[in-house]
Amino acid sequence: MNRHIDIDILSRYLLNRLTQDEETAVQEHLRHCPECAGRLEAMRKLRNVFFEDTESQDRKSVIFRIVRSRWTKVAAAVIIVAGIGLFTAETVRNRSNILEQHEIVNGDNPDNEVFAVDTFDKKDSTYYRKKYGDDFKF
Amino acid sequence: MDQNLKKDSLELLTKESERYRLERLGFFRDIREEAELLASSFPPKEDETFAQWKSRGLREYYRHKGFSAFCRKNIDNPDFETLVRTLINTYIQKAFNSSPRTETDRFLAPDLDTVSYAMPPSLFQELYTIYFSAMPSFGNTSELDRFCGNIAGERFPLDEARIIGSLQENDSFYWEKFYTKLRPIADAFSYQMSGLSGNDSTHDLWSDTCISVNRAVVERRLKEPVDARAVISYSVGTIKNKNKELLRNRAKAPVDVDSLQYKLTIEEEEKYFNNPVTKPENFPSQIPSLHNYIDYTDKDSIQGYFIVILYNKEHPLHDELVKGYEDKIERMFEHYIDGLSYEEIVARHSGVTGDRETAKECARLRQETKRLKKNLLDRFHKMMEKYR
Repeated sequence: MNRHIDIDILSRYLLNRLTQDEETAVQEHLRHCPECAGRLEAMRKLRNVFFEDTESQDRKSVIFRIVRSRWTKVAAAVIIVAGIGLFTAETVRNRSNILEQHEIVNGDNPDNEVFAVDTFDKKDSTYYRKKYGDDFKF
Repeated sequence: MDQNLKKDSLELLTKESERYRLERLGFFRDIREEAELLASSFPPKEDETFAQWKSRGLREYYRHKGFSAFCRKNIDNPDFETLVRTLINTYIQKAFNSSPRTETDRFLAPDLDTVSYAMPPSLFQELYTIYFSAMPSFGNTSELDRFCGNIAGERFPLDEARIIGSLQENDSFYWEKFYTKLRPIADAFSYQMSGLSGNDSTHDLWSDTCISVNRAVVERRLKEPVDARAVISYSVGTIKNKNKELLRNRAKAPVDVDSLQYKLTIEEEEKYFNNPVTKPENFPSQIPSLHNYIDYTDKDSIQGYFIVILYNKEHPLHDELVKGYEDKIERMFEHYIDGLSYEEIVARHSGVTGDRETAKECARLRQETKRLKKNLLDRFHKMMEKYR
């Protein structure tokens, strides 16, 4: 094939409108004709610009860029470290408060260890005893 | 590895992916890696022509990649269904273009359009269930392609009885085509009989006729067995009666009501059917290349068609698409196709000097290109509506 491919044929090639044999003939021509290959490439580039870029890469640019950004990773690390720190500090503070509230001295001693603190106190007991009678035991 | 072989493999697989949507279906992720695989594992043998290598190489490549299992896995994938529909539609379109016009089309389809070689969604679902529910084994894309071609060959053109049945079931797909068919006929009769011309004047008459014919067919009021000729005859009779009624109301000419008939005479048939005079100007079917290219049910086809119109200056719709944007399009091509940066384009065209001015001009060009893309797509969508 010495002559260039007609632009209509090339368009049909792009649109998958050629028969298998015609398609093979075009491909054979494209191997040796940079000009026709260039025109086909131009149409493919335009299609990417108009459709794949706008549809998928724009979506990518919003979501994937944020997800894959270095700053996102740094921010995630900071949030995780801060979360762990806050949780630890809060736990220590709660434990100190509990020991203080219940006047537990030497809380590290296994005998005095606080596993759970029941907030049901003697006042509540009096209330429920009045309400439900002596069957209610504390 | 030979660079040319890699390039050839890339083109083969790019085309395969475009035609069979392999990348979108997830058959492979990186086409360049696949091209390397094809080139390295299945290179051409000595004395093998390009066509022979393409056939053998792709066959072995698909076997290696397990195409058959892939198809079975994707039977319920909507993208796979779309692919099958597109392949069948392509074959139907080819058969339509190369076959003589059917009698059914002559009476029920608009000029250059078809009902005999058309596949509405409901029919596709029926065919997909029949042929694909027990997924046949496809060793490669060519076998899938051939299978779809066989379905098109076996099932199309559709029986007249089936199309009439769909009309009786009030299937809007067929009715819309038939209403389009009636439009120029209503115009022609109205012009001949009562001197009405122009879309606005005949619109009511046409829409009344459409409603009347639809009721008659759906309510089974036509004499059985109903065929395409009976439907068009009844429609023409209705148009004639409405025109006579119009004339009677105008009291310009007395009408013998008893002479009203619902039969299409041979003379009328010759006069009003397939007569170029009855075709309204700019009727969609007047653009011969439109139906050859586009499948309105397929997004890829519509997008590809847009690119073809935009790039191919010889296309009949090119001027309409680019009118007023010629210079901007040239710059857009320079950026996206030739790979020039905005700075280079500004330097080439506007001769602006100075960093600040250039930066300003580049920003303007960038915005302009972005707007141009949107404007072109908007215009294209309007054109699609117009020519649909």
